[in-house]
Amino acid sequence: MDSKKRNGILYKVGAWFLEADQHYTDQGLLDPNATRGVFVISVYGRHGISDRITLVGYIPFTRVYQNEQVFTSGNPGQPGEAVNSLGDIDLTVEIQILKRPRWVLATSLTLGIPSGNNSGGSDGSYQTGDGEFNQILKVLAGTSFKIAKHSFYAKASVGFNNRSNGFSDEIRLGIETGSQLFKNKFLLLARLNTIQSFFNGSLSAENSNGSIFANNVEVTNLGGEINYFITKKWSASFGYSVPLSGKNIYKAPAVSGGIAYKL
Amino acid sequence: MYKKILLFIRFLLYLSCIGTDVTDDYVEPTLRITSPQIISIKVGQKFQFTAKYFDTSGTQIDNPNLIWTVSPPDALTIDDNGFATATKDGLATIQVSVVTALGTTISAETSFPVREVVVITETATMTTDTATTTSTTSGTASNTTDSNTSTSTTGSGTATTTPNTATSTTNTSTTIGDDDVVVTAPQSYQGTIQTTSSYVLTGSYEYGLNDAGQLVLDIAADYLASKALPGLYVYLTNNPNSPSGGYKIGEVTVFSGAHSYILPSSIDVNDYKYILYWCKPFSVKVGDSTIF
Repeated sequence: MDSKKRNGILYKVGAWFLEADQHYTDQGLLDPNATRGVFVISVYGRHGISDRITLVGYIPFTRVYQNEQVFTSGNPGQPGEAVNSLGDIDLTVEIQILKRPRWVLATSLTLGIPSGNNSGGSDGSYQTGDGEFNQILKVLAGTSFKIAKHSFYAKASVGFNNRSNGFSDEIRLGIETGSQLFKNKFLLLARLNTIQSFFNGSLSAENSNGSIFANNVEVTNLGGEINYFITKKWSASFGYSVPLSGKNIYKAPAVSGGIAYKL
Repeated sequence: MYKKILLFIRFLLYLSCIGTDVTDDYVEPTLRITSPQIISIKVGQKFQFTAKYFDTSGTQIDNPNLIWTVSPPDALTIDDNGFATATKDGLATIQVSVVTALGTTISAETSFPVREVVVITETATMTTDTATTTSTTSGTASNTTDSNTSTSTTGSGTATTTPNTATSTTNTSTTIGDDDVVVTAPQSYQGTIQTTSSYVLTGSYEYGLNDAGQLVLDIAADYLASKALPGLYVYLTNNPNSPSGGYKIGEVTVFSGAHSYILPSSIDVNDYKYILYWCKPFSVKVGDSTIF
């Protein structure tokens, strides 16, 4: 392994937004809730320190808000509220294990730093972080192939999130495929990701100090993204995803966008 | 390029502005006789009837203009303040009415026997089942309890008593002598908490005065609530759609098994009609029970 050979640098400023007036309960059923929104502006960076090792950083700035609640009777409702704070920072190291002409196998370790606010707002439920130290070990496999002379890529990942502070551990699975279009000016991709809980944590409403969706979160998301390569260095992206099922999580589509710069 | 980026960010920031959610919490205005239910009253005795009026938000209106009437007119006399004197043997009905802010008239009434002689020699048990009230006695026969004893509420002149299969009331009066001339039913209610959401919430309860004279909500051992929804509060309220105007008993900290809430002496057993479980962070109702 040549650790001195660099493998590119990429920076991305992105935004992610979700607003939900319903959520998946612990039974996986849908219930209403006061409209809540989560808006994240993030800075993302990848730095290849060698052909095989890449360092990744993700710094989110999160806004969590809830609409004002008004009753038709004139009874006192609940004022709207918002919390803005730094979210949980992710630091990742990716290591390429195997590279073949059409295959690549890699692993990564992500450390989720509890830099966010896990008890924000008047009742502690405006969280911009979960307050615990995530450790996600992931294995990724990718390949490229052609269909009707058109090039595609596909990748799959399986990860284990070892969580602390009474949170349940998780398994994370994902598949993604995409292709470049229109003389490589566009990249169109689709993703299917799922988080499944082991339900082995001790945290619950009895001891979570008012936090919403404190533990045992599950979700399966289907999403798509389009990237437009403005120049060789600049690109813009727009993404959209919908939850197909879940537990203890909002039920709403999420939109995302970003501007990336590649050295 | 930079202007387009800034425009895009401004658009996203606009999306995350705080808006307004409107919840319809309208309830029919109600008038409720809150004085204890009379099982029997002796001719010549006096009794203070009380009633409370709640508007379309479930809020109690102070000093409403109540109109008290009695039927048949010679059974009792009653003044504008609900103070009555029994005058003649027979079945009597007290009705109270009020004109709402919408201009409609709503009323409530209670019926009971007036007796020349009142004697109970054994314990009496009265059971409320759906919209009817029946009572039975055991042991030595007496004329104290009467199947005609009932309370109902009417709106705009039409009987609108709603059957409630989720709630039943068991009252037991103690043995009394001839000198006791107004027999009222001790007021305690039994019912079942039921979920109104997808979260597990169930359990039976008894609501009334304990031996020490304290008003207590006793939740039974079959109670079970989901631990997945924090910020769960329990209220007493007259609006099942909103905790506003209700009494916040407290945050739910027990999620299974028997437990009790002792309520302040300022609350009367008939002050609130509903038990409400409310998720405060999500501002939604999770479960409820109609007390009476």
